[in-house]
Order: sequence, then C-alpha cells, then structure tokens
Amino acid sequence: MNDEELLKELEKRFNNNKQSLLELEQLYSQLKVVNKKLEESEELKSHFISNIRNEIINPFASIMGLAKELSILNKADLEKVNSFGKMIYYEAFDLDFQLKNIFAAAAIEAGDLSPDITEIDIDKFFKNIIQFYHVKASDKKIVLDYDYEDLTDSKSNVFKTDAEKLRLIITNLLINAIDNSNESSGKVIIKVRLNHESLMFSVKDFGKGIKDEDLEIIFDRFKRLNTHIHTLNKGHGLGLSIAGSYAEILGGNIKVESQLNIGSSFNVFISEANDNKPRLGFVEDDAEFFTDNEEMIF
Amino acid sequence: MEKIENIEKYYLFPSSVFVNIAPTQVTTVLGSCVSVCLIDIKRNIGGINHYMLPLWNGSGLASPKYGNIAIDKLIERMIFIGSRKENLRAKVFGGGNVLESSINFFNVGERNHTLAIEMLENENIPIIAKSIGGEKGRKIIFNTFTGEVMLKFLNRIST
Repeated sequence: MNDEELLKELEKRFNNNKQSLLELEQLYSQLKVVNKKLEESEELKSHFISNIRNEIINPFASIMGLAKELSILNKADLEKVNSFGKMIYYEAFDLDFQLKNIFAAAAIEAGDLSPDITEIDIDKFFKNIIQFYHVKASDKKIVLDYDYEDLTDSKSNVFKTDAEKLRLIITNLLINAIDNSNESSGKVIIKVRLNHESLMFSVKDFGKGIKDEDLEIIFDRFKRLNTHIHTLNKGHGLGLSIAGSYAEILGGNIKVESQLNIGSSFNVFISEANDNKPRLGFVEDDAEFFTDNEEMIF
Repeated sequence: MEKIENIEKYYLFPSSVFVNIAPTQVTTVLGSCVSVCLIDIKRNIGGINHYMLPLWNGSGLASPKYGNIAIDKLIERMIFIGSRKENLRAKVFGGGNVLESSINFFNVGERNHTLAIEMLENENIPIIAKSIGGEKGRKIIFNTFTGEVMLKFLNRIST
C-alpha cells in the first residue's frame, strides 16, 4: 500500500467514524425527546383527572339542577319547560360525547379493537352528524359549509366501514374546528370525497391555527395546547389521539395543515373495508392450511 | 376434528390483545409485526397480542400497538382471568424483515421480536416455541385450548 492509498483509507475511516458519531448524536437527541415525553405523559395523566371535573361533573351538575327546577315548575310555565328541556338535552349531548371519547381511549389502550363493518350512505351519514352541531356553530356565528361529491362510477354513496369509529373521528374534528374558530372566522368547511375503495374528507377552520412546533404533539394523549386553568379551551386532550388511532384502525391516516392565526385543515383518508379481508369473528380460508407444504405446527 | 369445528373463532387485528376463558381459535396475519401467545398449561386457556412497533415513545395513545405495552397487557390480562405466572408458557411469531414503504424505522421486524424475547425473559416466562425473522410474512392460527399454533408462511403481506 503506498502513501496515497494509505491517506485515502485513513480519510475514509475518519469519515465513517464521523458519520457514526453524528448518528449517535441524533439517536441521543431522539432519546432525550422520548424521555421528556414519557415524563410529561405521567404529569398529563394527573392533569387529566382535574380536567374530567370540568368536562363531566359540571354538565352533570347542570343537568341535575335543571331537572330539579323542572320538577317544581307550575303548569303555567310551559315555555320554561321547553327551554329547560333543551338545555338538559344539550348538556347531556355534550356529556355523552365526552364519555364516548373516554371509553374509546380506554378501549384503544386496552387493545380491545373490534371493527364492526357495515355499509353506510356517506352523504347521509355526514349530514346527520353535521346537523347536530349547527346550534353549537351558530352560537359562534359560524356556518358549517358541507361539500360532498361521489367520485365513484356507481354514484351510490355507499361505503363499507366501522360507522361508530368514523362518527367519532368526524365529531372530534368538527368540535375542535368549532372550538378553535372565533366569531370572525365565518365558517368551517367540511369537504367529503368518496372514491373507489377510499374516503377522503377534510375539516377546515379559519381560527387560531397551530404553531409549527406544536403540530407534532397534537395527537399525543391528554395534550391540550392551551393548558391555563382559566382558559376557554375545552376538552381533555383525548379527541385527536382517538381520531388518529381510529383512522389507523380503519386503514388510513390524518394529516394536518395549519398556519397560525389563519386556520387549520385536518385531512382524513380512510380505506374501504374489503370483503376479502378477514373480519372479526370470521376466519378466512381455513382450508388452505392443509393443502400446501409451507405450514408448520408449534 | 369435531372439537375444532365447534370452537369459537376470532380474527385478531393489529394493535389488539385477545384473552378469553372460552376455547377460541384466533387467527392473525403478521409481517414485521409480532404476536406473543401465552398458554396456561394448568388450565387450558390462552391469550395473544399483535403489536406493530417495539416501544411506545409517548406519542398518541399508550396502546398495544407497541410491544412493551402489548406484552405487559397480555400478561396482566392472563393473571386477571386467574392464571398464575409460573404456569404461563410463551410462543413468539413474526418480526419478519418484510419490506414496507410505510414504515421508515430501520429493522422494525427484528427489533419487534428481540423485544418479545427480552421481555419474556425478564418476566421469567419460558418461550417454548418460536418462528421469528426471515423474509416472509406469516399467518398463524392459535388454539387457546390446546395451545397449538398452526403457521403458514405467506409471500406478500403488509401488516
């Protein structure tokens, strides 16, 4: 080996070394991030308990109070009965949603997933969900703008999926969009496109927007971007983590685009449940096990 | 064969855990994912998980999508339905080096099955059978009553 070759070899090794040091440094910084996240996660879990107070005990107290008032009203107060009834309904509706989220998160963390696949009419399905939130939106002077198109050949609007999981994804994104809007936002756009074997929809608001550095953490559990105690920011920080997990279970994902003070758009992709794919309670083609030789018994 | 026809059937999805006292035939399909089957040798019951990534890194929910959580949950659930840890035996499957574009982590299959073996060793649960690594996907059918696992290699698989 002459000097030149020796130098080349040395340089090569030196570079390799440098490269592995760099990789090590990167791994180390990733490790620090993970460590911090895990520490935070424990802390947030305890915050969660105090958040529950606001999200569950308060609506529950209102319901009980209103119901008590209702029980002692006179016959002449029919108008009050109606308005109390409405208030109870909205409080209970909200409570129901919070509980659904908590149970969904518990089921995901327990590994208790059982997609229940049915055929739904996507157009009707979205309209049905959106109509529940017109009142909530109009309180903030927001219009829910619904835009649907069936791009399939059949134009049947039919899509096979787990309806309850899809409903919770949509509801969480819709409520977030309304909560993050302000009176000057004007509208929330729900755009739905049904394709061959897939569904894409987006929920776009013109509200606060999300800082770039926060985009990575919004799907983490118990994470609320504004955690001051007296904030108007509602919720317990489970909504997006559930929506993310559910989208994954339904064979898809959620992508976020956001600009601070301009607004956010949550774009969801879901694949259609396939009849050929095995479903819960079914075991696909057992017979194949006994027909070829690439099988073993343990 | 009569017994096999009467047995309950269940398809196990990724990121889930299944434990049941009733004899059940659980099917799942593995690429780089790993399933740990636990068998209670005294009581003829069993449980199985199916995880996709080795360790939970604090993002999203702490679900059994991650091996460290899925294995803890499985052991916990077996003990919950009355098994004693010393009666548990494990079988480990999957963790193939299946090329997937959607997962950018390096060697995820290998890291998945290494984790299973490490965790089971730490828990002192003997591994009595395994089929791990390799280039192919696997389909397994686990009979929770007999503890028997039928395995078939697959050529093209995505989970």
